[in-house]
Amino acid sequence: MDFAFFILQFLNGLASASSLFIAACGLSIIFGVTRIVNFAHGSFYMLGAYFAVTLAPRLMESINPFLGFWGGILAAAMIVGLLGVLMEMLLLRRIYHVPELFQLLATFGVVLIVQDLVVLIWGPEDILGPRAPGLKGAVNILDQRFPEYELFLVAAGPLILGAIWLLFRKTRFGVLVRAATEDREMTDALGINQKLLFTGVLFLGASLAGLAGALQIPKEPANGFMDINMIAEAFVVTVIGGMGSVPGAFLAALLIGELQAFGILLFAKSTLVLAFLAMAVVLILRPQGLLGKPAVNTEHSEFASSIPLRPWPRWLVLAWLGAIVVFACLPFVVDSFTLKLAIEVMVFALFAMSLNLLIGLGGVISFGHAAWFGVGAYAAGLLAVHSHSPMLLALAAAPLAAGVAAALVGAFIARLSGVYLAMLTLAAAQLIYAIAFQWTGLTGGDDGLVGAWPDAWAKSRVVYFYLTLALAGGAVFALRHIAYAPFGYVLRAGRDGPARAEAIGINVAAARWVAFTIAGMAAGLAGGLYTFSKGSIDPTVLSIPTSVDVLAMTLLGGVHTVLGPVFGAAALHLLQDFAMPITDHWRLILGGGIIAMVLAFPEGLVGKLRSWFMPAEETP
Amino acid sequence: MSKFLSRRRAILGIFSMSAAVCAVLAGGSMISSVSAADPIKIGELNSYGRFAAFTQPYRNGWQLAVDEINAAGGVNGRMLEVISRDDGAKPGDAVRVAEELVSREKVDVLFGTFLSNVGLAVSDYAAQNKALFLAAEPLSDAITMAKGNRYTFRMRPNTYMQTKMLVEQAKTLGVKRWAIVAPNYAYGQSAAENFKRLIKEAIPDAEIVAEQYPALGKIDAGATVSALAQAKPDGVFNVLFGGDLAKFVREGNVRGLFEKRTVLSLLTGEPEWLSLLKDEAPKGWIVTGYPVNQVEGDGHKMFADAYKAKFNDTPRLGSLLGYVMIQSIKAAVEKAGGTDTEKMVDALKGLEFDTPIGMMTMRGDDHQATMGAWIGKIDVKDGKGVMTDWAYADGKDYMFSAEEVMKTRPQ
Amino acid sequence: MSVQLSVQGLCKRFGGVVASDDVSFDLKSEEHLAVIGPNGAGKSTLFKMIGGQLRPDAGQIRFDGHDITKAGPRAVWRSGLGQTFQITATFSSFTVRENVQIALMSLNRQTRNLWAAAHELHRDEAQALIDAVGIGDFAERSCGVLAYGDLKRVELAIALASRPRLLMMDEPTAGMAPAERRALMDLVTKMARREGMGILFTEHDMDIVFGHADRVLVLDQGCIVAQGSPDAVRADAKVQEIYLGTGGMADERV
Repeated sequence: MDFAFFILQFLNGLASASSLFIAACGLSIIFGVTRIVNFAHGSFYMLGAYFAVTLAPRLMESINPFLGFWGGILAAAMIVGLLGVLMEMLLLRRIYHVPELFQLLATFGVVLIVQDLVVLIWGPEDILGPRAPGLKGAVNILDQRFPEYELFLVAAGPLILGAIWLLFRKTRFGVLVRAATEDREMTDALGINQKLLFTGVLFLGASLAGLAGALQIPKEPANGFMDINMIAEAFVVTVIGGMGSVPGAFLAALLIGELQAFGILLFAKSTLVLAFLAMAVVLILRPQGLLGKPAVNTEHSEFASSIPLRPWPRWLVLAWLGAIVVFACLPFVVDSFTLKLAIEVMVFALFAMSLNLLIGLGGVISFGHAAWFGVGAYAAGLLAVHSHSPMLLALAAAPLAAGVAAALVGAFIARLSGVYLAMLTLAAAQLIYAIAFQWTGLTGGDDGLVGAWPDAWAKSRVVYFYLTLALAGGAVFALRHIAYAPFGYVLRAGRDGPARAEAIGINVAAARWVAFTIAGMAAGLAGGLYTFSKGSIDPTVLSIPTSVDVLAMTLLGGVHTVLGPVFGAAALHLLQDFAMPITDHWRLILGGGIIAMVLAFPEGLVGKLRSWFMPAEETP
Repeated sequence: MSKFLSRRRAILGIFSMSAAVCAVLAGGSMISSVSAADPIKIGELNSYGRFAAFTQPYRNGWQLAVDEINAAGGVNGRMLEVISRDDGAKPGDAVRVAEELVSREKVDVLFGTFLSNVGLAVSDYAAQNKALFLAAEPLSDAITMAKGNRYTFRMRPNTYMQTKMLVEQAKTLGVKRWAIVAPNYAYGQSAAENFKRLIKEAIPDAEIVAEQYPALGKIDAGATVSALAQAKPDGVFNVLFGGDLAKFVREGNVRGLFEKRTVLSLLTGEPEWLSLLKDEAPKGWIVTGYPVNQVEGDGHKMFADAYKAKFNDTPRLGSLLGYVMIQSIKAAVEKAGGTDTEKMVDALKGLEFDTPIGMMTMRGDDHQATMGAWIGKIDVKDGKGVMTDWAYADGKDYMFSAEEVMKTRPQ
Repeated sequence: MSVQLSVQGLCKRFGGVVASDDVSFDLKSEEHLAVIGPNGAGKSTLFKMIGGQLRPDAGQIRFDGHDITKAGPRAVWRSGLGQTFQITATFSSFTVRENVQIALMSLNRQTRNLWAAAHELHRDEAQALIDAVGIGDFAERSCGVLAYGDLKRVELAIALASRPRLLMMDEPTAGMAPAERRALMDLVTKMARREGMGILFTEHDMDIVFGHADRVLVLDQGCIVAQGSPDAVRADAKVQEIYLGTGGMADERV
């Protein structure tokens, strides 16, 4: 590698680092103050680009090219900032009192809605924006051409870092933001108008995302994938830097930008994994990120509860038996497609139940639960397709493979807590996703594996329905049983009071590790059943949307209920199946449905039912 | 509140929720009891939400064909009825949608899909359930080769065919040092593999001096362009499209990557992707595409005029494809004398059917249609990218050899 | 009486703050030792080092002849040392009885049991323990809705479940009414005498300290400034100065 090229590639890395930093720092600020993992940050970014490609050309024509372009960029950022305010006031403000994951879920609903709205408003085709006046050419650096606009970007990142630094040091708003980031209880105590602070922070964060999107338009057409393409990397940058730390985000963006610029020279197909690999390494070595503060509030999980799990009285058992009998009669009354839906509902019910072992009982949040579902699905699929194993053998291998994988990963992450643990699970899932995607010889790459159909004896839909009912149903009730067994008690004890639990000899990290393994096995079984119900398997089952789906099912069902996730899975899956045939814009309906459920049932569907039907615990 | 009351209400609650789940499930199945009446029911699925830029013109295309055929009295006196669904752009969702169309809507034939993995999953579903599936857009060779099956046919020229058309152009130019840039997923990788194989066949002493595989939609264009330029290639083979392509073109133009270099590029001449670039369309690139306003022939003119009249827009390649899909189904039903799946499959093998761009054949060996592509150079006229010096490359001249089909395709 | 707990030269700093400075003392079997001192004297730090929650920078802790200086909380607990915390820590999503049952499951090494009905395990023994601390009537109540004083008793029952030979309590009666404090400490002392259990506790209420401790140890700024019988400590000039200087012992009683 000659020197000139090295310098050039370094500058390339700096330019993408700058873009990345501007895109990610708003996410970090919003998280620092509100503790919300804002999925809609990518949507703000995308909207920034769309507003900019709409406004800038018009302003350039009516005013003058220079002022029009930059005016358009700034106006786009401001509009997006106001949309952030709108989201805070209409949505987030109503759900600050519930666990933070619900806010994440609500912002995910916003993502789905914005995806469809963008197509409705701007049309389906990408829109290429104007190039920056005065920055269209290239400068010669060591005899190599380097675009002026990239050079501008190289400077823009540090400039914005400086502006944020000034804002945080020199204004009352900034001081409050810093105080709230460091100690949320303290700001509560200081009697700061928290609503106003949060609204302001959402404006700042969203307008930064909008600005980042708008600054992309000389490089990239505004398109409907910008949100998803950006959000994962923005998370990576935020987490590596330490959540809530703006300088940390800057460092992390530098790291990722340069890593990618030079990584593609060594291994051209590394583009999928590098960022997540870096995140995993950083989190294992330094769980709080480069400049993050170690999690202060480890005394209790946000999912600590005051509702005991009472043993089921006989009437409740009977009611459930009745419900199962009714369900088992479905093959006699419905058509074969409905049975297929029922099979999928059962598969997702088990998947969601397995996640609830972690979240509901262990207080451990996983953003990468799709990994174990996917490992199970691939294990079954590989055995069925490549070695033509009998289906039952493949179905047995699914939970085993997923359990082993979950145990391996769990060994690294069980000792972490909170959002960093969640992010490490995400990194693990992305790495596994990348393996499935890239190891084309084994897994078929993103084409996946096809031809994993049930053996002849189970080919009939009805037989497979009963097989799924037996296996998934059995596993669901085994998970339910675990909740009431000593291990389930110990897991919950570790969630309610980790210090107390340790002081009576309970190894909380080990319990979480076991839970991780069991949850992985259960999710793996669900994945195996999924493979044979679809006949094919591909990397999308391992992707982030799958993890978000199962999270939504679990939360919507109710994390503090034993079988709530079963209903959450049914509700969400049936909603999607209902919405997809009636309109192209089913994401709008699904997103709206998720937001409506978060607002109406913050304790989950079954949690809501319980508070309707069961008398409240008496309070002193 | 008395314990008894709460208990009764709780039982009620669990039952009502389970009953609700069952009712929603059962309720859906009631809708299906429509009798399989007169019309020929065609199930269609595609990624309308996620890949709207391609699929909406495509939907217009098949809609136009259906309307024309029905206005002319249908097929064998039966009207065509297309039931169209979003496939969710995910294989898992698509298989469920396909099943819904087949088992609940009782469609006689399925067509559509955009992504290769979605097409493969639906094709496997079709084979498993003996349903007929005509893949429209997926380009993966596997659909008709390694994973081919009796019930699946494909319309568009696959990556092998399109790459071969481009390499033919390279052969006459004799360019030897090549760089490849392709999106990091199956389509990009398979195009790159095909290119490596075909360029060696065409120019034995050709060498690949650089390869870049940016993640789909996430190209780090500056770094990628620098990395390619560093290898000092004489030619670039590009598989990028959409937003990635626009980024790559802008960076490449400013940095001079394309100066004095031959660029071969897949799909770039298609209006779906070309219109985006406006006056920045990369002049001189040799591309596959669809010069919609220049294609001659009465058939195409009639099609384009009818399309403009109905939708007030020029057709895209997707529009033509959608139109051709329906025409092939019409021809298959006529030849088979009905909609029996096995008879239609037999009819489709070797089926010749008329299209706006002339007769095409559905080859019996590998179930691949002979639809071709237009090869030409990109130029900018009136602030828009256009194709010049183009010629239609008939697909039948670029297909996999019969021996290779025999070897690769499961029998 | 033999020495049960021996602390030698314990040091701990947090940045520039010295929380524990060469602290050494012994606690004999069945002895009831109170540690007093103003806020920030290093009492909680000392307890956390003994309990295994904090690792000392220097020094040694021996319990029943075993070195537990580097042991974590679990090992310390298994060696027979029970503890309650300054900030009450119970398991909020369990009933009062279940809280104690969990401790008993841990004691009986059943934490990996995936099958048994936890609700039924050690039920009677747990009931006996909560009866003994006076909250037997609340057995089925959720700890999440219990009054503070009752939570202190739950915590005590949890700590007693493992039948520790030494019970370590960081401000066991904080937040309770005076009458309730005395009743609780009377109960603990009585049980300890009956079981032959040692007690190490901190307390702000001097009536409790002087009424229930065999011996008192005074900490100030991380150092031991005095130790001895309650009467001797009460009379110690240095102790008086510390307490008068910081607002006086009298105020602490309110």
